[in-house]
Amino acid sequence: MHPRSDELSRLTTELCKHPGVSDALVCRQSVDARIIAFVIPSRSYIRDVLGGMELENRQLQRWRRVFDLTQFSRAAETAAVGFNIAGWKSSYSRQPIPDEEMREWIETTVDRISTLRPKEMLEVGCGTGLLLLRLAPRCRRYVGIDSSPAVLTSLRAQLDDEGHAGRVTLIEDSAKSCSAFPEDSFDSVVVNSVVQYFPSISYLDDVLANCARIVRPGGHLFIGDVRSLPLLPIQASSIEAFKAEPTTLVEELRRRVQACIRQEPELVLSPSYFSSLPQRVAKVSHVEIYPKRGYSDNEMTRFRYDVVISIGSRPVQLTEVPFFDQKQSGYTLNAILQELSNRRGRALGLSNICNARLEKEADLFEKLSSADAWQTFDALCEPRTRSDSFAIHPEELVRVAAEIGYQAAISWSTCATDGSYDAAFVGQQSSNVPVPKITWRLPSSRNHIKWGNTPGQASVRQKLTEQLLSYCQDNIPNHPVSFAIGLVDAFPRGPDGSVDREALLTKMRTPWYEDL
Amino acid sequence: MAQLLAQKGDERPLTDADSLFLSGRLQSIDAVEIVIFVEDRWGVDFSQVGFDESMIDSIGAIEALVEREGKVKK
Repeated sequence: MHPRSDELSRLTTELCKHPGVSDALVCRQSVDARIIAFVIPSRSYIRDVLGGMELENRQLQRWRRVFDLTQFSRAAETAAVGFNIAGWKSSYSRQPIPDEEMREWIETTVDRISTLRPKEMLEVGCGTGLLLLRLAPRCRRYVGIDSSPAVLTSLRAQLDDEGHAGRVTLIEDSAKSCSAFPEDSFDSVVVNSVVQYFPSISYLDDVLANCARIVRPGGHLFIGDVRSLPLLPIQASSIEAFKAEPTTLVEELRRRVQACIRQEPELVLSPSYFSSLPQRVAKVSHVEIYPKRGYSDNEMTRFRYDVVISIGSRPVQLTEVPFFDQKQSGYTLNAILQELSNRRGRALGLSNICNARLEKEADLFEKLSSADAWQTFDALCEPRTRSDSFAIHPEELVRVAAEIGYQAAISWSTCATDGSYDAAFVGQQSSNVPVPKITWRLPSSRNHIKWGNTPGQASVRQKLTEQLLSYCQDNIPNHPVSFAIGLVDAFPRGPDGSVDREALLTKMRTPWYEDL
Repeated sequence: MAQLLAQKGDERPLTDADSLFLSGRLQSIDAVEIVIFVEDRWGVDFSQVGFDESMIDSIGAIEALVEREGKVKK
């Protein structure tokens, strides 16, 4: 017996009365007739009533200890000035990431930040000064905050040697200490490779709100080295495949991938969290989502991105770029270069560009998702004969475009789960702005609803779900409907901003690697 | 140890020689739990002794560490 739509809206209304609920929508999915209540939880209820705050503090303390411990290693003791990379380990091999890859990581990050022309900078989570020691000399003023006492001790020693004392201030505190600075006191704030150690999106919200407050209009926030949520499934599958034996069954491998995702201790974020910031923070005028630069092949270049948030007034002068689908239009790298040469400086956009960095990973994941459970891992590894590949390496694309007079901006604004990216080519003479602000494409509906994972919060989220289920049981007489609760961060919206119920009803099939 | 692994749904048996961290079975944030335990129980001071995950990578390694550097006998 199918529940009537007024029963579903009754359920919606009841749920919205619960203090733990910020918003709710109950739908019967057309794919499998399941009733799912999509709930946007109240962040303050989770933190203050269900004990989320205690979990957050515990998580923060543990990460602080992790960083303290890195400084007791031989690598830290013997580190060269500005290259104390102790603790940077590959998630695949558990061995240190090679020096030359870390150098490229540092240099490409410093380059990106330098284009913002910072003069008065705040760095949240400055660590051992990998960026600070290179950026501070170009600034009038540089404040570095870090919560690890051992890390700051190492950094202070290197600072004194380099004579930065007058310009650089170090503060031992958490990211929350941003609230102490007056409004508009900096032109730039950098939070690089730090947000993954924040305990929740609530915490991140608070930090970003303060960062926006303390940066002057015209300035920027640089949130760097963010781990990508849309790519977490192929990252987990990539890591588990690295560790698998040829005889491991597909069924077992899928189970390990699910466990890997579920137990992820770091905060992994969707670009849609950042893209939607202008709707939540008035001072944010524009957001850009950039895949990493560089030729190295590691988990940073594969699965992470940088965010440049422009602070200032709206409306923003945007560069309108017409987008063409890469594959549908048949744009190989050579075809792109040919087209750009013909356009003589006129802007061009390419969408859904197949990402050469992730081609193998995406392929493996697809095979893992569709293979029979009893197959073995080595059967998945048989190479597929590929007649032609449209895969383009992002770094390659940017470099060759520059050679023919085009600045290429690349973006992950669409949150593609296979790492496909968009590119906008703007004639170099017409772009002397530090951040060309492009009319990037939006993510598909599914990718709107989750902004991040919830490391360490499984217990409080479980508590909330149980409370909501029994609340509905108690408050709705003759309640025949059995339903599941899915906690989400936002509802998918159509181009006019209204909730896209169609997307919720038809497109939200939960994939095998996700819990609801 | 068993508790930490159980939290992750890891029910596989653990011998004294099995790798905890280099194998990827546990992560850096889990190492902190073991560090705190070893510090509190046996008075090992990692800021003096130095720290590397290999020192606590297995039950056997932890036993050897505590023998070498423990200040408080159980």
